[in-house]
Amino acid sequence: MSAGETRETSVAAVALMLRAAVGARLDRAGVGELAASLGRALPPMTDAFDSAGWIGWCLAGLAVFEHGPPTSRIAVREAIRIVAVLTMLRTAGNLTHAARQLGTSRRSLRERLVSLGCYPWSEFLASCESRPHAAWRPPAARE
Amino acid sequence: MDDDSAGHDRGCLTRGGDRPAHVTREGGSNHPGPKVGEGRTRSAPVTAKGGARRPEEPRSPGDSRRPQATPTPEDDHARPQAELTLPRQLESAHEQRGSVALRDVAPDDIAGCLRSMLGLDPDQPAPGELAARLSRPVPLIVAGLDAGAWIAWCLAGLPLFTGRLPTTAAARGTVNRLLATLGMLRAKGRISRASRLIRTSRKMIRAYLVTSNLYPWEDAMQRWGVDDVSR
Repeated sequence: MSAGETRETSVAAVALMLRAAVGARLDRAGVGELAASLGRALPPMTDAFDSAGWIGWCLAGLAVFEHGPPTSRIAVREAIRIVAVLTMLRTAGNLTHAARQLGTSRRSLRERLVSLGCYPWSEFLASCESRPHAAWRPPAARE
Repeated sequence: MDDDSAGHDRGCLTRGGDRPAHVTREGGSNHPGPKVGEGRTRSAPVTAKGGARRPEEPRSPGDSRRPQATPTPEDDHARPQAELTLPRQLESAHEQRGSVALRDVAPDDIAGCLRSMLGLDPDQPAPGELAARLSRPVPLIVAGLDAGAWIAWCLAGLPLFTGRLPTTAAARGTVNRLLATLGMLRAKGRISRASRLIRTSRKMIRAYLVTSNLYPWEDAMQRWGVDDVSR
């Protein structure tokens, strides 16, 4: 299992950079942004977080919030998809290990991957490599 | 805090051509976006999902937005999407459509920004990023991104990706809490409206709010120092 690269990052700095990335005002948080910290204050410093996985999470969020706020069902489905696929990548396609990481059973993970079109995993990765848009290759193949 | 102050309803999220007369560009000095009236808005056909205002929601007397797309000669937002160059499309990222800030962004640029921010090679995709692109192609341009909500999504993901990989339950809980809070903020604290906005039941929203210690909403807003819940 390959661990993700971990870094220390200031949450405030991340918020600032995210605003800059989408061209939002830097000096104030929007209403939507407030939703992240209400009810559960974000720590001032996030240490040793999985930067690559988080970038994947953020990129998946672009599709979720295209055309405005999504329905809860779509958002949850996308969140689970990104987490499941990321875990499968990190566990090199080992269903048992991935299910343990995700806190679910092998069976439910397999059913989820089938519903996402990601099972069997090896065939799925091979099909991704052959697609034109899949410019990124799996880490193992790249090495 | 007024980027989506009035746009609490999905119906206000008109995409593309209907540039409301009251739209104000988010006026930060950090981006060289177009000024209202310069005709830099992009116009894609209004889709059903973009949502016209619901008939049962009358406009307020002060609401001067144009009801239908009436392209004027000076508005190049009447031009088809294909005619606009990529930089021009990206310029419209700074446009605030409706009352919620919707922007067009390029995922590759966003990914580069995120990598730079984290001290990674901006041109070299990190292995974990692959998870976002597998099983779902990421478009060249994401049109009409709800910027504030996306930033909240990203920030909510920070604790999620700290330490071990997140579990399915943690991801589900984070997203449900985020959306319930977002819906309540956009709905000015009205739970029925929030439930319509994110298309879930009132009961579920209330459950998420209780779990997050955000119910009753007004008390929670006072507790968290958000004095004006209507923002």
